Amino acid sequence: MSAPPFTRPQGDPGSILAAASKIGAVATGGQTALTTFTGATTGMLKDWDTPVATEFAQLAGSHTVRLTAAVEQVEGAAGAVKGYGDALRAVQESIDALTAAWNGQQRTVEERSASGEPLPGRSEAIREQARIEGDASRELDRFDRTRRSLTTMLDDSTGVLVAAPAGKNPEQLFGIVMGAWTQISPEVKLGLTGGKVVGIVTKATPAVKAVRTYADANRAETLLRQTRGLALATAKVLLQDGGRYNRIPGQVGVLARDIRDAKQVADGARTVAESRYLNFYKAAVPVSRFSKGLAIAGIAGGAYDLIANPLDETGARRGVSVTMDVVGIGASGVGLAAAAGLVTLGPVGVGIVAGALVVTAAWGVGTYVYDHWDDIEKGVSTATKWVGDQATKATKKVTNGVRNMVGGVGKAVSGLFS
Amino acid sequence: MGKADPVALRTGAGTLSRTATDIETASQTIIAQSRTVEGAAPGTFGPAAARFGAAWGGELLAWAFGAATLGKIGAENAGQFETATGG
Repeated sequence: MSAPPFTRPQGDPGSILAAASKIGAVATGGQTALTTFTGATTGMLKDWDTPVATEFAQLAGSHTVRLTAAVEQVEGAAGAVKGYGDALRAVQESIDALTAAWNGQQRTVEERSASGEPLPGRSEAIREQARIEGDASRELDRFDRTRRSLTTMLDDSTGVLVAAPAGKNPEQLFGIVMGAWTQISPEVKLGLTGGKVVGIVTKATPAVKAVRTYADANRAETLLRQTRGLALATAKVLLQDGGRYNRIPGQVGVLARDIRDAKQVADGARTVAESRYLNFYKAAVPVSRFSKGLAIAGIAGGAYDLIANPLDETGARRGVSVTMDVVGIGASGVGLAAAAGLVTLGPVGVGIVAGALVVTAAWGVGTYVYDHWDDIEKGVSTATKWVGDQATKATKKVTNGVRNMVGGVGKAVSGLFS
Repeated sequence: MGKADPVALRTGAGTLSRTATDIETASQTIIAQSRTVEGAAPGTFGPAAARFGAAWGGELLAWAFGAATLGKIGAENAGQFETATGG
């Protein structure tokens, strides 16, 4: 008997879903570890007042941010893996059912053919097979779109750490990531030289210089805000373009969550403002003429509440990438940059955020926005169609400003990732 | 010389050490499970999962090393202050 002209996708959904569960458990455990780590380091710093303590706080801050980002990405990956497992299981079940139905019709066709006469029912059976083949084709197409989307999500997420991961093998990626850490972690190790703590930072590497370049952090922070505002404006355009981006409805809730997270970060920032790192914090607060231009675009895009008061908001990076996902201009949900870890800093202890602000600015925004500039620019263009002449002027202003800042951020980040 | 609470430093150091161990285990889980996905999902998704696991597993592993080192620094400093103050 002939076989149907469509094939059941290969794979073991059960194993995939089991792995997704374990990966999700890691994310949950990581969140607990993050809380523990923050509590422990905050407790250590409470009555510890030496130059080493200051360096310790900043390194603890970078660790807080990096674990936060990792937990977010792992959580997203768990969702992607589960999504793939569910989709694979569903399409396999569907194709199995369609295969059985097609085979049933095929038996009818062959029985009628064997009789030597085109008896009634043969033509109907052939038409029914064609219909089944169409259903199967649509099911497989849908699964293929899901597969490609989830694959991209994972690679975007991996791309937060290493650019263009799709062309590299796992061993290479592991080596690159570990190598990147050695640019920062040696500072920690050097603090123990000879068994005597003489200061954590004894040698300034490019990475440490970047981390400490407050001006660049400031620019990165501002760049983030403006990018997010523009992306939201674009998202609003697309939300009005019903059906074109079928993932949007589910993402609206994500945007709401981002706003809430942004406020959480603002709370953390205020904690810092009241701390002994007051000056440090002030240096990282974005205040520029550029922000005003962006605010106009933000109002036009309905995102004014996100950027109207930059002095109270210093994080909110995840929104950038999530919004990029919404508008489909470069990244998917899980692929959000280190941004993912940046909005959940608060509440944090005194001293922890200080280091976090600077490190994340250079790391998160640098790797994501700088690498995705073309996509962001495309988003700006799309938003412009909707916001009208006034927003167009503002957007151009923002675009030029962002372009200049991208150069600055890239310079700051080059030491971290070169 | 500044000030410090050696007891708090030692307590925190112990916590950081344990947290580092937990995350190190987590990193191994991520890498192993992503490999499982790779084997169970032929095509493009499985390899992407393996890449993710290698990268973020490495990130977690490096984080664990860093956290453990921070704990050691806390303990070292506690010892220094205890020596300096005769405590």
